[in-house]
Amino acid sequence: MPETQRTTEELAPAVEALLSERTGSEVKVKALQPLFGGACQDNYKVDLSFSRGDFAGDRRVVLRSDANQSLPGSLDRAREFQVIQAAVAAGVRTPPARWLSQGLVRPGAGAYFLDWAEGEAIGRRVVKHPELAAARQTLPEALASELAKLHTVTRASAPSLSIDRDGQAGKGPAAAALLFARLMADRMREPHPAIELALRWCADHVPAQEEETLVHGDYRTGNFMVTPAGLSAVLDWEFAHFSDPMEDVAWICVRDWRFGQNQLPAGGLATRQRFYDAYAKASGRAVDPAKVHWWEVMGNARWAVGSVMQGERYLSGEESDLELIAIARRAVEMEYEALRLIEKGA
Amino acid sequence: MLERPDEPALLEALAKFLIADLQPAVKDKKLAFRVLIASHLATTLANQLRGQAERQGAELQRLRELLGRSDGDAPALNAALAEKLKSGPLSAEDFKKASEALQRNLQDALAVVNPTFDTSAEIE
Repeated sequence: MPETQRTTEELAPAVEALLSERTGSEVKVKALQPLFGGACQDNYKVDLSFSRGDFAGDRRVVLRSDANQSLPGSLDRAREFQVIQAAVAAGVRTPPARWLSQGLVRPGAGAYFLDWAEGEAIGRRVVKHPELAAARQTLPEALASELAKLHTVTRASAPSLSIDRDGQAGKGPAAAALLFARLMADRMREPHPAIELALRWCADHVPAQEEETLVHGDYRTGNFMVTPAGLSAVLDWEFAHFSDPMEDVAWICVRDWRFGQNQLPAGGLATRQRFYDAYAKASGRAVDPAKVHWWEVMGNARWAVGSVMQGERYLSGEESDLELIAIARRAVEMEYEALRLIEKGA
Repeated sequence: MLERPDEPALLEALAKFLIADLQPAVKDKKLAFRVLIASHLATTLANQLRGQAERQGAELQRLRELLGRSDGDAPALNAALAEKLKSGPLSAEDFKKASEALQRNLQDALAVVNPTFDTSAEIE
């Protein structure tokens, strides 16, 4: 195990050794380069060559490793690996995860490999790029269908998934979401009365009937890949948890994920009705607009807090990415949207 | 003291330089996106400096009315309001008043951060 983070040059032989051991094949790393990852992973694009066995031939993969820090509520790679396995088993279109290990990239850091998926993930291109126009015609139904498959996974069907957040045990999904948002909001360094008002409303209007399935937790435009042929892969499972399936249905409708296409509330891709109908048809589960409304208010409030906290990561000196400090000022967009939605009603 | 060009004009010039002159020359996509963000931050500052006194005065007025106070600055009043909303309970009428005042404050903040943000009630 390395004492510090391995350099790209040091990483290639370590990957070869690990995968040779795991597959019994001779493995060569033909190319390895860092990718711009999320906040809590280090990602690398790796071109491999296997001499024999199930993977014989050339194969491009993504190596995902735990980074130095994590975001509140996010899973580490070992748990994310379990979630991906459960999603793949449920038939969700997402690259399979393989070869979970510890300490490959840095001491104690979990890491695994994902098959490479082609496509475009950048939100503003997904909703506007002319080359993806035909794909956009099929995306609402495809996204609803993948979500429905994911929502067949329950605590009972996946008893080994240990992904509960601190304090979640024994709480219903809405109460757990409130607690999680509250804990994050209490770490803000400045008062945000609009966030408090939105959370107050959420606390006073917790949905009566709740269901609990595995949810993606960040299912939105920007976190799936699209090719001209359509949806190619659902990505970014680090916020998966057990919750009400309407949390995912609402999150993709949160305004920030429309990338300017306000006339198409579901991810900048479809009207609410089209997306709700597609989800209901695929899942056999009725979409209750009042429940989606609650989760959408909660989603905006939580993302407002999240935006503020992104800025704190810059201000604390922990990170130096200009985007983080710019996101913090955009919190007012989510704050306004939360209050606007409350006033508008379900 | 010289005041022409004033601060907002300087910041707007900086924003324009970053987006119109520098960004097209930056080949690295990630860096080019950061140049766009930098330009946006300079624009935000320019927007903030224009009409700042009026916005701050309006915010203070709304907070004082909402809390029934005649003293206190905006940070203190925002903190007092946040605490009140957090601890609850809140009558429907108090909720409505707070929401109206806060939406106005947020509209003013949006005019600084993202003037193209559509605040109309009709959005689905």
